[in-house]
Amino acid sequence: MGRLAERTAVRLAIFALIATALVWTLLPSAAWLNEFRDAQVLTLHERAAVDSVRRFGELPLWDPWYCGGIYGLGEPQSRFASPPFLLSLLFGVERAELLIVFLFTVLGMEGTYRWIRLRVNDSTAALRIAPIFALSGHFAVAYFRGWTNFFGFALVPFILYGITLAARGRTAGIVVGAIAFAVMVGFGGTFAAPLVAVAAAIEAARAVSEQPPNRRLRAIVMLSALASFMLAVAAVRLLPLAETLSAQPRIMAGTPGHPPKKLLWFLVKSLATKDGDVEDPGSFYVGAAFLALVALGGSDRKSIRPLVIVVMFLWLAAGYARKPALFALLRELPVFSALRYPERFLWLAILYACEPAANALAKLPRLGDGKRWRVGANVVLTIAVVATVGAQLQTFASIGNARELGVVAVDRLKEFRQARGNRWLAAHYDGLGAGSLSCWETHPVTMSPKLRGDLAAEEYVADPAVGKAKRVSWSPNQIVVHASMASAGRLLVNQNWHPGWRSSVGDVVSDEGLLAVDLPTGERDVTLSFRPRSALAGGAVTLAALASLVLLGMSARRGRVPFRRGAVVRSAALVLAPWAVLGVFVARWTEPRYPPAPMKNANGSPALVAAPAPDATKSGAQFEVPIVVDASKLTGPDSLSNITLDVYFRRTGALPRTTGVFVHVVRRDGQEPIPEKSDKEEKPKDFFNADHQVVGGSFYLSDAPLGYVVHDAFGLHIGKAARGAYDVWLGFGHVSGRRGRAKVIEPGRSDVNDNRVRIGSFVVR
Amino acid sequence: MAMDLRTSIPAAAVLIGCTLVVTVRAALAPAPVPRRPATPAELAEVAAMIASNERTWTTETAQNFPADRWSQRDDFHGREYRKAQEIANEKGLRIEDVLRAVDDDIHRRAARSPDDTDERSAGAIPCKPRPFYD
Repeated sequence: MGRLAERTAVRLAIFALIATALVWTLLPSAAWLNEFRDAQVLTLHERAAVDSVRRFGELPLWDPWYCGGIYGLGEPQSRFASPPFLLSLLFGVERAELLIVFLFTVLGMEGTYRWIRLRVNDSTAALRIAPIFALSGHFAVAYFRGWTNFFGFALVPFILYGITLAARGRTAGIVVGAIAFAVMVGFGGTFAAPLVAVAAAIEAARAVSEQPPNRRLRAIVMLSALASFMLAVAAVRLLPLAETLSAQPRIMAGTPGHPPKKLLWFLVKSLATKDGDVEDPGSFYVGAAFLALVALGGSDRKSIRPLVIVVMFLWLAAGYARKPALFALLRELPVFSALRYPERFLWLAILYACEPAANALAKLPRLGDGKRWRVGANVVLTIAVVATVGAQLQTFASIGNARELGVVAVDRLKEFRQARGNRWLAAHYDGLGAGSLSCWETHPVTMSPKLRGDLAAEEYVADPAVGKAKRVSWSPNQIVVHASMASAGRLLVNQNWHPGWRSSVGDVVSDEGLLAVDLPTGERDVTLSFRPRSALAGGAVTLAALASLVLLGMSARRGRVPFRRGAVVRSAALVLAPWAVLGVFVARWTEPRYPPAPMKNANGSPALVAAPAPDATKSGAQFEVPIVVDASKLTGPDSLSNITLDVYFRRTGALPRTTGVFVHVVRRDGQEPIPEKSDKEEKPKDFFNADHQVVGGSFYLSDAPLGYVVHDAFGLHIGKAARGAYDVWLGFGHVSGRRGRAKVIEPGRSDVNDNRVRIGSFVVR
Repeated sequence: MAMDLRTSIPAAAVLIGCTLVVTVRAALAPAPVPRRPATPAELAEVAAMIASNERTWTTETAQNFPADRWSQRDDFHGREYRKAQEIANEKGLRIEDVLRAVDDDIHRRAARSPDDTDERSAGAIPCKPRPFYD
């Protein structure tokens, strides 16, 4: 039996059968569109890429169909920069989804098997436990919500496998790890990447520690080469992503956390749907039997290390609910500050828990004497695993079949134009052939406020008295416009500007974020082309890295071990070659930098100002934390019962990331009591709060630039307020509110109450 | 070697068979038939129905998300989405026709420049997701 499990063809056949069972009941609806709100946007990204290739014969670089035009390759949620895109091209986006699920499920199981086998001697144990991770509940959640890009996470075992192999001196580890990482990142794995970085660091440390001391340096060198290749092979995706996210950083606040019981429910409860979405319990379903196996495996000394790692991932998954919060520490790091869902670390906990579970399967039958015990124990344990896998398959099928399905009727406009759009129905705009200005992404998208969804023409001259423009041809990456200019003037295109746009005539400029060309006098065709340097450079680095990997692999097949004596220079040259290519591009880089978007409040006002508004009330209050409140202004209540607050303050020193702003709206004491209402009527409220951690709608309080006046504008609806006079109080402290408020050390001109300063008052009549 | 072939060939056959079956079933799964297209009268009616709700939506969303323009607009579109679906289901129309009717209606009073008045919320509100949704 063990020999059979070791045969790749046999394993893949078993995994293919399981993956077939996974998708079987969903195949009849393969051609339908998932109507879930997130699926709409993610489907549109993929449809845009397919349209670019199929209809226009272009690479999917610019996506004009969403948000007024975005850089498709730099869009964190797009998934076309990886081989599975061929499936979308061949079969269409909807039909390709189940093929992708099938493919990644098989890869996830095979990767898990190979990775476990590096440390578990029993191949049948590894084979039996391998499906658990790739079938865990969050993949069902991902399918339900249309997060197809999350299936890239199934490649994590291959990345960890590559790391351990590389640490053991095997060149194959570098090849496998680098390619698996690049495919995952190219497949929209930008959410998985930070989690994988944590797992990769742990796996690398573990793999190095397993080496004898005299081989550790070499292991570190091999792992460094692997890290370099991971980044270089993924460069075609990473460089555009870095360009996008450095200009438009994702900001995440809040203190998400889950108590132990909730974490347990994530893993063992049945996954169910409610109100058109999946519920939290069961959303990482692996079942109680699997947890029992992990516990049984814990008795084996070999399971101690993976179990320690499992506990660490559980600690991370608990988020802020477990003190001290490891998740909070992780969030202090630059990229990790944007992590939003700590429970996703359960994915890694499940993966690492597979090892002790496999140890249990391998060891328990050997504990007793006699064949009957061995056979009996094997049968019982195998039934437990099969039952778990069966429950996982059933969960996937029932959740998948609970999706709301629809169809995109393709009846495109003759000419592309921007529409007001609707991101909740984004995929359907592809059927219309119109762009959706309604935009939702996981990061703030730089969009021009001059975009319109009601223009008479998409390309026009800013000053009609100066000239005329008429579209000649249009495709995502290239627009040709016939311009007749009586004098020099500006041609505007109803799409967002990006530094990757070039023009055959005149200068491409950003007109408040709108794509524009300053044209000289005369009549001519103007060709606008999108050729971003980050895509060209990234593509070149990726190609160079793949060529280097091939050469490295060929050398290894001839018995030349990298970084051994005599091969150091050659190996180092192959590792550095892709970066030399990047260096050439950087040296010749002429494209302007994609500038960060101006920091603005949620109401569109600037978040950094030279001085408080003249009509703001001066304060000068100083707090125990290094913050000075310069002034504040309260407007309202208006006819909609909204109040608007403008607070002007300065950060004068270092602050912890977890510092938050407390804003309390409190009905003044000593007024007539609030009248009691009947049971059905809601009692009027006498307290509102507008606490927040991100100020100016753009940055954490701790990141407010020193020496600048921060303008923090926010609003509150007080429609349910009881009549009377209210005061608005402002304080600072730990975002959880549990550690008390920072003391007011100098009130300035403000009234103080309970370590808060009054920033305004109003009356509700 | 003989052992290898005895197991590997059937296993490869199973693997290829599963892949082919899944691929063929996905490729040949019946394509959903879109609902009927709307008549010009229905398009006009649908556009009017959506337009008549917009003022109310604008007020309600301003109360739900005061001083937060993107959240207001996103809430607006959430309401538009539900109404569009309701209309499409009631009348048995394609959702694309409902969206087309709205877009044509908005374009009927076409703007000539970004500075023109914007009564139909056709201007862009840059995407600015809320920092948390707890």
